Amino acid sequence: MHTNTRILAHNFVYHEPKTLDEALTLLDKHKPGIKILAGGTDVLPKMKRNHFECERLMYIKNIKELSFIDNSNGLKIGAATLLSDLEKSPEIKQNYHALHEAIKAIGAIAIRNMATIGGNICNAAPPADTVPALLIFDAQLKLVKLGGERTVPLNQFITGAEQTIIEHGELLHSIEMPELTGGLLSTFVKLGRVSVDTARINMAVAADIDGSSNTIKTARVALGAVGTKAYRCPDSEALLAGKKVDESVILAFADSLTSVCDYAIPGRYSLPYKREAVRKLAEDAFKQLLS
Amino acid sequence: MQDKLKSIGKPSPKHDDLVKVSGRLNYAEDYSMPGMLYAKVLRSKYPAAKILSINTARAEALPGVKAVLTAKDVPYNNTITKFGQSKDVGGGFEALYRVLAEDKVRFTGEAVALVAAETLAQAEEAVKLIEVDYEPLPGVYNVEDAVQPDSYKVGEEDTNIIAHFKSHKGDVEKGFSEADVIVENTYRVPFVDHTYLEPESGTAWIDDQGVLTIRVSTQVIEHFRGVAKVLGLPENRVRVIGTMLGGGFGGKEDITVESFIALLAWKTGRPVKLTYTREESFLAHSKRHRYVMHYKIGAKKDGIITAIKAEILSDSGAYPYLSPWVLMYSTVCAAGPYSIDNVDVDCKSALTNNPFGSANRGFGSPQVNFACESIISELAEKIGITPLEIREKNCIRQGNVLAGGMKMDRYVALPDVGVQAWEAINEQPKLKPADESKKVGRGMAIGMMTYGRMTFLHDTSRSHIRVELDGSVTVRCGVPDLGGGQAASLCQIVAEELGVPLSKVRIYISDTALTPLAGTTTATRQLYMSGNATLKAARVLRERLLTRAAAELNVTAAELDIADEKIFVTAVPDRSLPLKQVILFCSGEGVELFHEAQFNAPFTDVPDLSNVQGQVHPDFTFGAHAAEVAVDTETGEVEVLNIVSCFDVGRVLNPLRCEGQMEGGSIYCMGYALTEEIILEDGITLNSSFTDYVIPTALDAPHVQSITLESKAGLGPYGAKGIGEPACNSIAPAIIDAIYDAVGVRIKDLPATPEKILAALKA
Ligand SMILES: Cc1cc2nc3c(=O)[nH]c(=O)nc-3n(C[C@H](O)[C@H](O)[C@H](O)COP(=O)(O)OP(=O)(O)OC[C@H]3O[C@@H](n4cnc5c(N)ncnc54)[C@H](O)[C@@H]3O)c2cc1C
Repeated sequence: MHTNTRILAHNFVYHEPKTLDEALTLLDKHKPGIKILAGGTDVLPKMKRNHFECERLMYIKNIKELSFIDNSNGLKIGAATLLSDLEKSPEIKQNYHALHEAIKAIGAIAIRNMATIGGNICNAAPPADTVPALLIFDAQLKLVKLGGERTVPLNQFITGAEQTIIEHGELLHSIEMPELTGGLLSTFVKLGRVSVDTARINMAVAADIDGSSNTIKTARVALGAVGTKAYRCPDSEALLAGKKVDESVILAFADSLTSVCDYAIPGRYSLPYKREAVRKLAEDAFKQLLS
Repeated sequence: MQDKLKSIGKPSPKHDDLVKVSGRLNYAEDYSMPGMLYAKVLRSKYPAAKILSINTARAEALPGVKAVLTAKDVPYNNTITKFGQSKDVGGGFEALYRVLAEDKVRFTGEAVALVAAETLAQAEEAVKLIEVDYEPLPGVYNVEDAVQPDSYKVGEEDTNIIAHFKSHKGDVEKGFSEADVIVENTYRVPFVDHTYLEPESGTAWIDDQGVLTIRVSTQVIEHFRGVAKVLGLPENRVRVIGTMLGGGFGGKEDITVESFIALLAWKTGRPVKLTYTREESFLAHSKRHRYVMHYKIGAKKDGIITAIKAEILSDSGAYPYLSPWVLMYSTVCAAGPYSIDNVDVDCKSALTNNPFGSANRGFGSPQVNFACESIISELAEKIGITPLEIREKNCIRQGNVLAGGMKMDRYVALPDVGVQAWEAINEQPKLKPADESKKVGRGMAIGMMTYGRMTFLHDTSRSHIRVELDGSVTVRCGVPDLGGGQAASLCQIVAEELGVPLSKVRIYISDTALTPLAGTTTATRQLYMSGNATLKAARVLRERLLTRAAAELNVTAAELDIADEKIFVTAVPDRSLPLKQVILFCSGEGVELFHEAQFNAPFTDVPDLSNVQGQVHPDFTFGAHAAEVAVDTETGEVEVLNIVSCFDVGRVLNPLRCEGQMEGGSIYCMGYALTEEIILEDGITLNSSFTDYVIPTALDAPHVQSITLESKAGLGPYGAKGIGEPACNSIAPAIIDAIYDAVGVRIKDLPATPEKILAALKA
């Protein structure tokens, strides 16, 4: 059909490898002019707006090796696994609850049916919702290329807004999270402008709470969309560790997050709002953890 | 009469629902032609600049490029805006319509050059190769600056002020001196977009008769006259075929792609298609005007308002388009639906180097309704009465005279609509959110909004009906259907009058060559205007059929009725004739089985602009909104929990469609209240995509309870009024009032973002 709604203005060669080997060969052969396409929910809007051009686009959702959920030892997820498949996994919901909540907070169902977790990570947008959740689970990323592979921690993989250390010819194969010890509870909270929206602030919190003494043994906190990349908040984590869960500790936690904002985005237009609003996320996170 | 009606008042799914939901309906972009070229527009990257030179040589040399046009290639580049009105209204209202920028650009996104090429990629490439040498000019971006005598001049005139209307009554100073309580505030509302699903699109070609034909998504097929002017062609050599719209909301009331594709098709002799991208649509089409509104109001202790003064400044943006007309609506509605003895309204509109303002659902009413209703609620609180009480004490009633001098002879559903909306929202006890930081509040606002165009435009519409020999009926009416069911309503009227099922009525719409001109689908006028024209035509045919049947049944036509495809004696329904048989009698005997009728609205003269008084509009629709919100005191987020929309619609033709408008209207301006705004930095739009221009999603839409009152007092068919635009009028102030009720913060500057609310809470 003749149509003017040509979303993508420039021409490219389209590849649809069926196996990882094929994909890595293509990536190697055509680097640097070849771009990986997973769900396309970030790639296509960017191409439409001419954020980048590429000679070739390689679709990876037909590669079976890249789509799996393996919880035999910790959690391993194939990079091209659909968000909606992850959302349905009972193990993730049970044990890696913050990740489950983060995925549910992404887009609307139509987006989650298209989008992959690898795309969310590799796109590296500051508000990417899975990233804070993956950070608190100490996610490691397995990167593969023709004749090689390496594993890097997520916090080193993303270096800034839409910046990663991935090299031409490399592909994100999978995400690995170590087995959780103890009774780690976790949750994810997000502030948007409307119900389906990218985050203005998002946060994942995990805590190992001793039931009898109601004391936090250890805590993990990661904040997103405040600054150019999501990060763990060691001061807030330290503050929570060893404390009894009560109002004063939640208040102190909120104070610490306000300081994180002050430090991360000094002078930014959004600071006066975010430094206040983040306090509510602190409260909500604890409410959810304890419920 | 109600019970007798067969089609009117019954919920009937729209005749086009199925083709829409199954994806079979063709929108403008779905049409293509063999040999078609693709067009692209080069747009100004500066909000204000002198064009020193344009070099198109490199673009023209690109393979596949068939035409590159600039202002010098447009036969009549500067003409006058017309909007399908029956009468010229001249200076003060009609202003410059410029196809392509000439000498100086006035806004970012203004069309500078056009390209047509064999492929879209070539057209896009060619646009990049056009070299424009600009000399940036300072420009003016704030309407408060633009009205100053020494300001930068946006256009060619020596003032930026394009319209100044006043309306007064009594003596406001005396009124204020009598007041016990006075409130004075400045309110601001931003430019907002229409955010229709379907961006602007059209295809133009020259048919085998040499007629320049344009198939386009438009609210106004009468723009064929404007296109003829631009090309210097006779009006009967330009034909516009309107497609079903994927939304209009006023944004497709102005010419969009028509002149561009017409010029390119004329130049190349080939069909040419142009569809805007979303980002381009944001930049290229009109916006609802930004307003700065200074209000002062005074009342006695008992709540009776003694005086109101409104000084209103509208940012018309870079070109006037419909700004003066919009301003006239604001002038009439500024003092609200209230009976106040002392009124002073002063409205100005001025050019700036911002995107141009024009029609947007409500047409100058929602802006002033927000200010007026907000100040009334604040006044009520200062006096210590409820928002409903102050409205009950002051609203106009039948027989009262509006601030603008129009006497309300017809039934006025005030304060009824307000009472019902307020009672409905208060029926349930306020929710207590589990979350302590969330506070629940309720608010309300009332409003009036005209349906039908301003009476000095001498509005008319026509409709043609033909009865077929098998008893089916064909309607031809040049009404563009925006998705609101404009066409289906006409079918219902015909079905009712001719006693045939709705499924037997087929309608052809929106073609300047083949359907009678029905005027614009704007101003909430089609049910009123084309509904009446169709009713008139149907009744002529009905009378002919009854007359013929009367002869057969030996009674007078007055004794007959028609229903279920039978003509029968009202008193003895068994004495009847099949409709089809009567049709065949008529056909065989040469009785005309078609009729075209014209309906004329009331006509008045252009009012005295220094004191607008008397009738400016045919009639008004009165309505009210009540809202319940939860405000998070820690994040400033607002969740709308419930909305009640209550309107006197005169008569409901199809409850499904009527509620659709009431629900849609509520959500449309819920976005106006809470999230929507075109963010401008010195004339540059910073949020021209749906990532950054935030509209409510389906998940944000609360339950909307629609309460329809049927006074049957409207001027439309069966006493109907209009609902399309009124439906969105008063929701924003109702939500803002509810926010105040919840957390004690009055937002006077839309949208009420979490930032503003939180900042006010912390202040
Ligand atoms: C309407 C809408 C709403 C959205 N809402 C949200 C939201 O609420 N929260 C949120 O976080 N995001 C949101 N997004 C963004 C997007 O959906 C997510 O980031 C999504 O996870 C991206 O996945 P994808 O598979 O579509 O990635 P793609 O668009 O296919 O790819 C994204 C990037 O990652 C690269 N890439 C993908 N897979 C690999 C791989 N295996 N190895 C190396 N590089 C790879 C691509 O080359 C590209 O640079 C939204 C997007 C839309 C359109």
